[in-house]
Amino acid sequence: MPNAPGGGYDTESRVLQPFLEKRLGATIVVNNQPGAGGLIGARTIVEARPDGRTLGLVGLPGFTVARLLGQESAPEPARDFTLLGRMSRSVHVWAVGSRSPIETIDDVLSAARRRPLVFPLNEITSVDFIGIAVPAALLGVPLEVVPGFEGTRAIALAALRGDVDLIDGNVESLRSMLVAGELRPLLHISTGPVEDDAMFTGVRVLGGADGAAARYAPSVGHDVVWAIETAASLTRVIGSGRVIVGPRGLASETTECLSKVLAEVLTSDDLRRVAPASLDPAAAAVVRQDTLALPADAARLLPLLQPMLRKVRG
Amino acid sequence: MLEPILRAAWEGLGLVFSWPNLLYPVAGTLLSMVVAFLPGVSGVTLMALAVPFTLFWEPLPVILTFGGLIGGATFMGSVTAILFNVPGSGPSAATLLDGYPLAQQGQAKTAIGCAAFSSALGSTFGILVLVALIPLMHLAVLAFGPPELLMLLLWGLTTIAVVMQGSVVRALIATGIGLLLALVGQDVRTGEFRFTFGTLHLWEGLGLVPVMLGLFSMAEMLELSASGRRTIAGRGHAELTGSVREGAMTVVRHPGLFLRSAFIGTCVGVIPGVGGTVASFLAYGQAVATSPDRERFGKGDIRGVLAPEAAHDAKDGGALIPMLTFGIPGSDGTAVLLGVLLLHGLVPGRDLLTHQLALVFVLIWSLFLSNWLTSILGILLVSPLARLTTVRLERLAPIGLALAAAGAFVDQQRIGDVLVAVLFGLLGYYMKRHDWPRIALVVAFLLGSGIERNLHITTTLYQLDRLDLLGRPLLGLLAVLTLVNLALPSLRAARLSRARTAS
Amino acid sequence: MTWRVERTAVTAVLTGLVGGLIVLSLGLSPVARMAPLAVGVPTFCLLCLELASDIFRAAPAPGSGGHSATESLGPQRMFGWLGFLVAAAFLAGLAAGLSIFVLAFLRIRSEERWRVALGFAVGMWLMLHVGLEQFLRINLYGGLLGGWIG
Repeated sequence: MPNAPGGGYDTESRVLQPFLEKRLGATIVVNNQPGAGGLIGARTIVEARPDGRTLGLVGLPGFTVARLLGQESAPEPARDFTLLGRMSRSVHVWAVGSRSPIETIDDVLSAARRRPLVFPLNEITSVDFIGIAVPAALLGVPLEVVPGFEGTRAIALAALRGDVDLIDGNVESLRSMLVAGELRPLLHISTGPVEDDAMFTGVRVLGGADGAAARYAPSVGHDVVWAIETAASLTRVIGSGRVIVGPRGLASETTECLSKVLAEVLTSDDLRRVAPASLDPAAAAVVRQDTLALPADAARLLPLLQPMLRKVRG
Repeated sequence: MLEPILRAAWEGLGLVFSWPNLLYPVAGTLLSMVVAFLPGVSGVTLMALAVPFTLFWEPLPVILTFGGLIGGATFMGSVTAILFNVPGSGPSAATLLDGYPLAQQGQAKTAIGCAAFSSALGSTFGILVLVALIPLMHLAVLAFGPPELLMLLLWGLTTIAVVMQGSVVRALIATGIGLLLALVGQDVRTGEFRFTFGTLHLWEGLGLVPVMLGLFSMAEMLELSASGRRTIAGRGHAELTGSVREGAMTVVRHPGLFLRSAFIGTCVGVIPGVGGTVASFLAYGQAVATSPDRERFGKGDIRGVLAPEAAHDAKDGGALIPMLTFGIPGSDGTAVLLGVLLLHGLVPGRDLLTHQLALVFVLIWSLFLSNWLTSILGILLVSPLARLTTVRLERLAPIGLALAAAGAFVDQQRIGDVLVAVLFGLLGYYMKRHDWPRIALVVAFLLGSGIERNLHITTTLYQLDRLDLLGRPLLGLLAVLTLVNLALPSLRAARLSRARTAS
Repeated sequence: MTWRVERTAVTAVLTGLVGGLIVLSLGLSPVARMAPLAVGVPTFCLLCLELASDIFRAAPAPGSGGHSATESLGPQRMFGWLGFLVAAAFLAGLAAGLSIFVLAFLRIRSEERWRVALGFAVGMWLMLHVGLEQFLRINLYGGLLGGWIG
């Protein structure tokens, strides 16, 4: 698990631990392997013996983006892991500070006409980057990115302070600030409206036939269908979520057994009661299907990212 | 405005000091203290482990326990720093600079007594500030943006320039080397890797803990072995001097220093992403900088124990401020705490602060209790602990080395860090022998990546016309303090020469 | 190695280190190499000054740190022990390796009795294995030879 104690993955893993232990009747040790943006932890799993004793909780979007942007050392999820189940998913949203003059996505576009919008970033190879660059390209919004902020928290504070215009971030990480009204959501990066989340009523959605990408495609000179599909790809890549994996080459009985156990545990009521709100489990089969489609989805995003990459990398 | 706060405080107090509630923070504290004696293990590890255990508890016992866990570990880390020159965790590293020399002079009891009292008082200060700022928490957190942080770090860096005795050139070189070492790792702007030699291990740079353990702890063990001393204290236990009372009284005798250090600690705690280690070193630096007689620093000046300890524990109170206001943790410990709160349905923010203030105070009181409890217990244990410095060195050296190696590993659970620590141990040994100032290197290393990162953000935002640098008062204040730091050596020299010509 | 030679050598090593980092940073993109060069080049220059000063001027007497020119235990042998520590940790894993190190050191170098050496070694092992691994469930490195030992 690729975090030091206290990181998001750490809490999720430790929440899962007692349930898995009970169900499997085995002792589970949570092993923190921080570093290299999750790569060290990932490598441990890739190199582990496929005897069913080493599992990992990894974040797929990070690796997908890393590979997309040229980092060969990042694992390729479909090839390097045996996928066993999904724990949670991430959805990204564009937001502004409550004191910002920008109130809707239309305001964003008119503001952008005057000068490029400033977005803070963690680093170029992070998921935030595609969450910013792709919708911006789809909507025709000129951007400036400022990398170097340490984590979603620093980014959110920058928005509150007014140092930057807009931010892109994971809904779960920003939830407390969104709920408290410190941040105002502007654009939901998904393919359709989210019904059960009161926070998002009235918030524009990027994808789908009624989404912002489709709406603004003509004015930017994009084909509408292509825009909708690209938005869908983006949503899928970001949403690939945190999955539980084993090393490649796991025996099929072991895989079956673990997948089944995980599916049970992840959907059990007990876990839901205590689990973090982002819990959004999926069975191994679903995960495998989604993951296989990831490289194609990612490749589709690349042309939109290249101008920005060139600008930043100099 | 004040009334609901006082009421919640009273309610919280009642909840904590009742039976059986009191068991939780006490148990948490004791557990923390014991565990912290193990190398490299900090309170954060214990907190993370407690998460699955406490999953099904009610919120109240959870808060009680975690408040206890936060406070417990820090002091023990300082004890090992003083006695063995092996800090239990990063923030205790500054304590060893003067704490260990004091132990070497047989004054371990004084050092520990001072540390205990200073840290307990420091955390009280942090908590008081926290409580006082409850209505203003917003402003406090938003006040520190990248430019302010940059200036704060630069202030810290220039403090070394003032602190250094001896060759200015060597201090500058050591600073430069420290900054270069801080650059190892990924460059955030371009994603390129600097000086990593293709290894994954150096991807995020050198770890602070292995570097410090090597540079100070291992180097010290090497030097002691080579020097032929009999024991750390240089004498038998019958000759241990000093006392806990004396140590505690130091705090009373230096109120200004204490307040400044605690203030620094609280401020650093408020800033998310800057940890206790920075707080301790900044406080240490300012302690030296603001003392007219600074020759004894580094050789056993009790004030060099007072300052970092006060700052270190004050940071805990400060770190709660952004956590409770925005759900943004100010330190690793608060990061785990945040996760725990969210798991139990407590969302930080205005809601928590208005409708569940009593629970917030339960947390605060638990923290308060655990800090004092740790200090009191620490003081009670002082005699046996201090005797450890009289253990014969031939026995202690390998143990010290092994503990440092273990601590280096446990930090990020990478075996490569043991090698890093050993290499820095060699470097530290030779640096000490030939008067190269290690503290300059360490502080520069500590602050280096933060400086580069924030410098970049600040300049980029400025170029994009997003920053009104003149309209930020805090920035101005910090800038002035930094300039004062830079000017101090020349002012001092001028004063000295004037005094010489006058006499 | 005389004091003065050692002193100069240390400065030379530091100079080489900084020089090496400067050379490495030239291989980076212009943006990424700004910081290393901005810090590295002045540091290098100062180091050259120090190096020159060490070579050509009389070194200060080694009394400042209380070090004597002849020491009871040569630093070289300590380095050997350090190497042993690293090797033991890498090969036998952290708990076993460090305990072996303690045992060997106490026995061979400090010439303690077997009872004392074993006592400390076992204590170290208990603390690491039981305290860290079992109780705190921190995974300690198993060592390259891990399967054979413990």
